[in-house]
Amino acid sequence: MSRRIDARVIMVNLAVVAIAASWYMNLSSLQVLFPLNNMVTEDRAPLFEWSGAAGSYELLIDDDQDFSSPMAFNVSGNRYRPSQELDFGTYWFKLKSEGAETRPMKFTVVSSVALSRQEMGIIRNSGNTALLVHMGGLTGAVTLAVNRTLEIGENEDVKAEQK
Amino acid sequence: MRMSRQSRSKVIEWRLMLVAAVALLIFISSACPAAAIGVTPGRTTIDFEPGADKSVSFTITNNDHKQFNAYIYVEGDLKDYITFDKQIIPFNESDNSKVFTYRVKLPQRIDPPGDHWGKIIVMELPAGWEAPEGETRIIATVAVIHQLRVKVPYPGKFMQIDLTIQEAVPNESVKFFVKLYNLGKEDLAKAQATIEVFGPTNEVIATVDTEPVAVKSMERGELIAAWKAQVNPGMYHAVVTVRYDGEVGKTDKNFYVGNMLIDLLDVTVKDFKLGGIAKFDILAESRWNQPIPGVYAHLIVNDNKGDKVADFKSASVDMSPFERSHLYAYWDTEGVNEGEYLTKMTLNYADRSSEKEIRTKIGLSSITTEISGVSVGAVTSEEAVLQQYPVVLLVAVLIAINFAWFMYFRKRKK
Repeated sequence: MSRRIDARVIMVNLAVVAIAASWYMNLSSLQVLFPLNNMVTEDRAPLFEWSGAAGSYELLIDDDQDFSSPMAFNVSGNRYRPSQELDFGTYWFKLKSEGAETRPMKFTVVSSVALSRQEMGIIRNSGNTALLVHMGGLTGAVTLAVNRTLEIGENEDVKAEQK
Repeated sequence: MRMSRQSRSKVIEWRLMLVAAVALLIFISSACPAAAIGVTPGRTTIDFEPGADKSVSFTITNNDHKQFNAYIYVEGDLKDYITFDKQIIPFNESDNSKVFTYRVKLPQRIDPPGDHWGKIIVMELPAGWEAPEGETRIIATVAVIHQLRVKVPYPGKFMQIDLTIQEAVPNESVKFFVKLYNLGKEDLAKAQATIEVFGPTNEVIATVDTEPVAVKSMERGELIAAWKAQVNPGMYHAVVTVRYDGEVGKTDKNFYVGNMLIDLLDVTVKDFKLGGIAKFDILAESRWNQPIPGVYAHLIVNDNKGDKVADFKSASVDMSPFERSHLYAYWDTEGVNEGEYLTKMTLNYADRSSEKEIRTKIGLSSITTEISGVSVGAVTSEEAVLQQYPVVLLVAVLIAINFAWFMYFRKRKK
């Protein structure tokens, strides 16, 4: 009788250990690759990458650390780039899949005000935000979208700021 | 000593060549990108605190890796409160960026309430040019501005509203995040938002309300609403009305339902003879509720070794909402052999593109095509970050089971 009970005890323990091990293996496979924690980026639609064997994931992005009002994206595959640009600011994100959940990681999207004088009289907004462009001979300013060019006078002084 | 006619013409020839070379050099130097300067972040925002003394940093970027001097000065109504040590920051070709720090020392009071600005101007000057003030400038300058915004609270109640929209595909929920910044000196007891969604013909197609929220002075609150987008893909417009303690505030924004998509339906080639011109008839369909201008196809044909055989484009067309259109692309097949090829076709439109692979079988008098899917790349690994609580839970279960067994046996022995 006691031998049979001993066998039952061993079997139950082994079963629980096996379940725990497989669960742990599943958890271990869910790893965030990018963005790195505390990363500062000028990419307004950053690429999120992770490793894991599950077929689908839920990516949560919030500007509150407590994820009280997250943007949620259901993703199949191991990478995702938001189709719309994020506003400048600090965000937290985490991934969920089949009972596994990564801890919240933080990243910050910052604006970049950059201006190129491409050739005589042509300037280009090479930053990541719309610019107000002030030209020497004019009062007021012209709005210049990202990656757009503007023809100005060859000897014109030009100043640009975030719109 | 007098020069002969022949040697004089040689000298003239040399002079002309020299002038041409100098002109060429001037042309090349003027045609190359002359300047690219940047600052990041472009704006730093702080809340006003009487007598606050802070250090603020930003990065000056040398995007073109060139040698120049960054000349820094301040404008704006906060300029008297901003100081820094160095007015000239030299950059070399090897400098990718440099951090610049300034000090802002605010007074006890700033009037009127609202946003106040300090503008730190970073001007690119050629290396060696160090004293632009008081001199006649003969160069055109490029400058970028880092803005310091100081928010001075309003008396009473004052709400700033910021709308973020999480877009969705048709039949899924679009989420509206209405952020409320209470810039007033008084707390807000109740703020609630109504969101009206307008369709392409400017009619209201949906109205959703948020739950109410209270927002303390100089703090932030958030209102959330969801709307199931049972509509066609396309651009829509949201108008948000926030009512707070008897006041009303409004904001609005465009958003998209679904992705702007042009679907590739079919690719056919008729009346073909190997060695002649193949006319590719590409049938595409817009799944968008707005016109899409300048749609064109780019085809790259590769042989079975992956070597490029041809690269050609169609003419561009403007597509009306939900329209089917034909794009025509022409390929000169002279010197091309019979066999199977893989064609990568990219449809380009509105700064976007969609890609398809097409198996292309070329015979003596026919080209047949078969559209297949799109491949996806792989990634590399880094450190794991996990929450271990499910494992801890299982270990707890294991301990509990064993404890139960232990108690059971102990009871039976007694």
